[in-house]
Amino acid sequence: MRGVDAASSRLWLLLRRSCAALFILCLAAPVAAEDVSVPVSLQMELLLKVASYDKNLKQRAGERVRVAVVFKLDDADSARYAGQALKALSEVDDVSGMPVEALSLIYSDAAGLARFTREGGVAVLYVAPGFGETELEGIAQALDGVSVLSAGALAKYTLRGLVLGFDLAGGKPKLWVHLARARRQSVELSSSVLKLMRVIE
Amino acid sequence: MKALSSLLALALGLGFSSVAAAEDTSDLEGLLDQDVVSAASKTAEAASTAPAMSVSISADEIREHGIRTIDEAINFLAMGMQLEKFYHAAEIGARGVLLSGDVGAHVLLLVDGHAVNEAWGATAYYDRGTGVPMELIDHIELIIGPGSVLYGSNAMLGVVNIVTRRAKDFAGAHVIVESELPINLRAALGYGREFRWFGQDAELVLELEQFEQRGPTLDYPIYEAVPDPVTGVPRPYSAEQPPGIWGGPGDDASSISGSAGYLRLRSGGLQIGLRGMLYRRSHPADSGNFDDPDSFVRDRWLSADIKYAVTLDEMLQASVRLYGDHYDFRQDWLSFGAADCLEGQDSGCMWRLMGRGNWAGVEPQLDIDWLQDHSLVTLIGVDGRIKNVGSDVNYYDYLDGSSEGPIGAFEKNEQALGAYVQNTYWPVSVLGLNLGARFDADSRFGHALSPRAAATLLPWTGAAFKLIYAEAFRAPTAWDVYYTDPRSQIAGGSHIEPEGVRSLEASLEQRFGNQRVFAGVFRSWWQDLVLLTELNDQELAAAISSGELLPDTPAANQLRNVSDIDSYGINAGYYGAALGGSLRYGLSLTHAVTRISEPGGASTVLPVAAPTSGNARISFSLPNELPTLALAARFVSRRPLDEYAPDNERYADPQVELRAAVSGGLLLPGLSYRLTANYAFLDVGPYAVGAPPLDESPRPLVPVDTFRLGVGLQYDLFP
Repeated sequence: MRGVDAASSRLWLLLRRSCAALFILCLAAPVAAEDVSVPVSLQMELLLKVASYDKNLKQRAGERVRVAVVFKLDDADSARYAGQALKALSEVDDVSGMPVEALSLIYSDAAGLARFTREGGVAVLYVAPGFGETELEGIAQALDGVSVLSAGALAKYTLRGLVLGFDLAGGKPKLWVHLARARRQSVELSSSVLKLMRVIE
Repeated sequence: MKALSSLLALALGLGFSSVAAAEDTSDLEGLLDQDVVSAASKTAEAASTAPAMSVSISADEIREHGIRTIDEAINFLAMGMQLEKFYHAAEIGARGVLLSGDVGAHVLLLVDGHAVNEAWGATAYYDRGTGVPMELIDHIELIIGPGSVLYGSNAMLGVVNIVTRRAKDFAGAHVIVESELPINLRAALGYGREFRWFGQDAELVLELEQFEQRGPTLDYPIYEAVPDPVTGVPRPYSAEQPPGIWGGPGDDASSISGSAGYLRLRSGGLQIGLRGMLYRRSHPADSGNFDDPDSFVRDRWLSADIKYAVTLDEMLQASVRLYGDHYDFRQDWLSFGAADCLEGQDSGCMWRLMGRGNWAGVEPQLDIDWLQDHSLVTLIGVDGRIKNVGSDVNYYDYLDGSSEGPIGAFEKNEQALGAYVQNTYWPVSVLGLNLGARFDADSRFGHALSPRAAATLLPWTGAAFKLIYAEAFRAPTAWDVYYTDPRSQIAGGSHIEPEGVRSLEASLEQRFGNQRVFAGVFRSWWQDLVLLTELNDQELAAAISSGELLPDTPAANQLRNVSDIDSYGINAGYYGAALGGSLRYGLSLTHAVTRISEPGGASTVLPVAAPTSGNARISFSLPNELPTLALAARFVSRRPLDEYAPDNERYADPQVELRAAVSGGLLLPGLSYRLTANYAFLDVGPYAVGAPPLDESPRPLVPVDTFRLGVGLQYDLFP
């Protein structure tokens, strides 16, 4: 053992205590970690790049591109990833020559979200993780006819009606786009851009 | 080579011209072509900002290039690492350092984060013995350079992390049949499904495969070998040749049989992985005899990994991982030579080595996002493990099957603990710092500390400059420490320290739209490498008097930390796409100057390790339902043979291997095919085989299968 007994004993004690502490913490806050596979900073880069290809962005944004990050206050993951998104957005200067303004919004209901989007001149809406199927479908319904590029942190959000979603396959980021929702939310992307995405009809 | 050069030049030209032609989407293509890795810091991040040189090989690349094993994927598609094939086995090295005979112990192999290197001999295979069906692989991450900071032992040359597919990318049932004609056949069944389980999104992927190979039959030079030193007369090597004659066609003992299965279940924060593998192979020169089918090597693995991750609040994420593994090894080595056997076994013997390891552990981990925006993150983890290892060697008399009892038998219970901490800090958006260290304490060898410091600078658009210092170690194996043979070897025992490596490297990566250039320099210093060392007269006498060796033992050895390596060199790579991603290409080059030294000896070259290696590839997806065409080439420079010594300076000539592949859909929806052709320009490898020739000429080199066609079919049902 050459003098490692003491160190080993201390580490085993640390391990036992760590496990016990984690077990208690897990029981106290049983929120399974969301599986956000594409780093949020990369999601923001991709989101703004896609926005720059949207032919209606300039008309929608006016002088500045307002990007709203919506999250759920009662979901630790949602707030955590929203924080990362806001940090990443704060480091962006412009999109297509227009300055970027990042906003955060605590989700209360879909109608309120749609109202905020419409009245606040939000051009891009990023939905953090933590939303259920019903909530996402409600958001999609509420945004029907609202000119906004809505995007979700997870690819499966696209299946529930957000325009854009982020996936990881083959160790590379992938974009999912819901084409029907894009049309209904006045998001117009060229065929060469759509060719780079997985299109959900 | 000329044709290949022209093709690459054309590809590069097309790539650059496409930047101008497809200006509108090349930036987006470039972003979508970024590799995302998680092994370097246990966090998903862009490879360009990870605190290590990181390379990723995608499932698409694996499929397009007709890749069948991990060693092929690395050799044809990666940068920095390279493998040498010795028959069916592949020996892994990186950046000019390859330690022949180490059974993969200087690279840590992970499957979805679960360490594969076993507890007895640290074995990990990159050939048919990896134990993960290729269709199930989503991507392979390579972390080049010391990586013990988060993973502990074995990550000296780097870390290879195999990440399996998600159910969404492997949905339905899959039937796969493929063959390298006519020598082998692989059949596999896979399944993937997403579903709801206990109110959570859940998914399951699994695949089972069976692989059988007989051949190829390669010819070995036939020559007269030295007489048996014990009997003084020529000994038989095979039934097909008269006594004293070695060589001929290797048509009996060239075989592989492998069964593997992998299952992964995810539900919410819970992940469960199960892996099983049986891998048996033999080859004509792996024996005291020639082409003896009764000599073989067999490995069996069974692994389970359960992880549960929770988010505690905006700042804290926690996970606990439980894991357990079983591994056993058997090698049967038949010889008709009395010199290979014990006294009295003049007609020959079967040498049988049995090894085993069982280990289980728990790894809690805490992730603290101090500013709740991922700019300052601390990762803390503890990995505690209990191990049981053992092995024995028997010499069974060839005539009556009797044995005098096991030699060097041991059975040990061990404990190991590792504690690690890593801080990642991005004080400004263009500068990232990563500082970490891991402390390992192990009842087998003592302790080891593995620090790492890395800085990433993003000085201008698309550029990433990295400076990295890292240390790593390899714990001595159970064999190194405990094995003893009273006739020839005393145990390494408590004298053996972990092998260590320090590395300093700098690199610059620049992205231009969908083109990417990488250049890096590195230097590494290895110390305390374990080698078999002959005892001096005093040590021999002491070992005899203490009973470790039999009386009258003329000479004996001990494994000791006696060797150092100094290596430095460059890496370079270029990757890109054109025509909307239909045309993809890449090339890489690594050159290293590597010297190994022992006390009292002059430094010399490292056997089998190629100073220069690289690869180039191109693939083109034809439009509509037409196939994808792909061509890849791999190059290794002139390199010393495995038996190289200052008084025996032998080299293998450079080798170039080509791989052409055609893949696409067939007739029915879900049915696809791939056709491959492999060609190696040189018909021998850097390993000497066979008995010593009577005329004292050099031993022959291992033959290489130079040309092989392959065909594969896959049928995807109920996607």
